[in-house]
Amino acid sequence: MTYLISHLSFIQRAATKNSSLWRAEYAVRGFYLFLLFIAFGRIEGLDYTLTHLSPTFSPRWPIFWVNGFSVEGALTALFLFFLASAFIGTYFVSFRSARIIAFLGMLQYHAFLSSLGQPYHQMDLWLWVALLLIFLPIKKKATPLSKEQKISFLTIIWGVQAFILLSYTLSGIGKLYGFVVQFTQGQAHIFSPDAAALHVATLLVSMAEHVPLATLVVQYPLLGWLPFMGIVFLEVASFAIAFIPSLQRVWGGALIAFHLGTYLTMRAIFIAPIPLLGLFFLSSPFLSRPKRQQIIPTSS
Amino acid sequence: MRYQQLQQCVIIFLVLYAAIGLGARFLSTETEDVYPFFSWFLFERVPPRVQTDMEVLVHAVGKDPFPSPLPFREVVALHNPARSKAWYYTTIQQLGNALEKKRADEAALLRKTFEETFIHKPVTYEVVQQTYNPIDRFLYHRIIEQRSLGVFYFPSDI
Repeated sequence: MTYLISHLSFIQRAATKNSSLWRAEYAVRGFYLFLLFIAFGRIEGLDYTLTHLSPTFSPRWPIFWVNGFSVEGALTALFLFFLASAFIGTYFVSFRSARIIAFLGMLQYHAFLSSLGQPYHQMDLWLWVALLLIFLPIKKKATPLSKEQKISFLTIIWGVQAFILLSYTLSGIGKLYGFVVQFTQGQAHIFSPDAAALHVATLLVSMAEHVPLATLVVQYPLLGWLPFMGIVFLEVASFAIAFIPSLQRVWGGALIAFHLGTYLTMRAIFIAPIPLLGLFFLSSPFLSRPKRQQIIPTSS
Repeated sequence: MRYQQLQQCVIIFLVLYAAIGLGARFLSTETEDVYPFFSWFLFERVPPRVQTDMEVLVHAVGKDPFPSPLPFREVVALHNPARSKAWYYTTIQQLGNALEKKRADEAALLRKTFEETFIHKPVTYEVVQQTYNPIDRFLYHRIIEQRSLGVFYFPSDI
C-alpha cells in the first residue's frame, strides 16, 4: 500500500493549482446534474416501465420494502424518490447530507434495475461513484478549504478515477482468464483471428439485429481482431493509468471510442460510463498540461 | 481524517471491491455477483464456432400459409416493438429446452408465457433446434442442422 501511495504525489501538486480544483469541482457538479438528467428521463418512461415490467421481477435487498406494497405504487414512489434525491444532490452538492440522499436514491434505482431477472450493470459505476463522492470533505461556511482538505477532495476524485479504471481492468482480466480456459480446451479464444467476428455474429444473430459496421467485421475478421486486441490491452492496462495523470485524457478518450465501437460493430449499448469518462478523465484535474485542453485558458 | 488515511481507505476500498467481485465470480455457485459487487467479466469468453440454439419458425398467420417458414422475428405482422428482444430470446431458449427434454408441464407453461407475451394474432408456429456457425448464419443465413421440437397453434387450448 505504501508503494501505491508513494505514486500519488501528483495529488498534492494538483491541490496547489486552482485550475485543478475547479476542474474537480465541475466534475462533481456535472456528475449530479447528469444523475438528475437520468432520473428525469426515467420518470418520463415510468408508464412504459410499469406496463412492461418483466414477469421475472424479483426485488434485490435495497428495495425489499417493495414487497409490502402494490408494485405500481412502490415503483412510482421509488422513481419519484430517485428524481427528488438527484435534484437535492444537484442543488445542495456541497452538503454531505445531500450527497448521501443522492446516493440512497441511486441505490434504490440501481436495485430496481438489478431486480428484473437478468444481469444489468449499466449503472454500476454511477452507484459506486455516488458512494465515493459522499466522502468529499465537509466545507465549513465561508471558510476556504485548507491544504489538507484540498488534498482530501482530490483524493476522492482520484478514488473515483481509480474505481472506474479498475472496472475496465477487471474486465480485461476476465478476458485473459477466458483465454486460458478456452485455449486449454482447444476452443476459439481472444487471440483467434476470428474472435471479434464470432462475438459480433453471435450477438447479432441471437438478437436479430444489425448495426453499421457489423458486416465488415464479420466478413473480414482481421478488421475486427486488431481493434479487439487493442481493447484487451486498453482494459488490462487501465488501472495503471490512475497513477499516470498525463495519460488520463487520452485513455478516457480511448475508452469512450471503445464504447462507440462496440455499439457500431455488435450493438452492445454500454453508454452509461461515457459521461463519467468525460467528466473525470477528459478534463482530469491531474492533467500535466491542462491549458492545452482548456476552452478559455486560465492561470493556475 | 488526514489525507494519508483517506488515501489508504480508498485503496482498501478498491482492493476489497476487486476481491469481492472476483471472489463471487469464482466461488459462488448460484449467482455471478454479490449485489452490488460485480466482477466485470463481460464477454470474457469467445463464442464457439459451432453453436446450438432454439428458434421459432412461423408457418402461417391466420389462414395464410407462407411459402416457407420464417423466423418469428422476421414476420413483420407479428412484430411487437414493446417487447424486449433479449426477453424473447431467453423465453424461446427456455421453451425449446423444455420441449427437447420432454418436460411437458414446464413446456406448456412456457408456451403460455410466450404466446401471451409475444403473439397477438392466430399463428401456426414450430419450435426448432438449430445448429450453426454464427459467422455463416450472420452472412448467409446458413444452418448446419435443424430439428423440429413441435408444431403449435395459437390460440391453443393450453
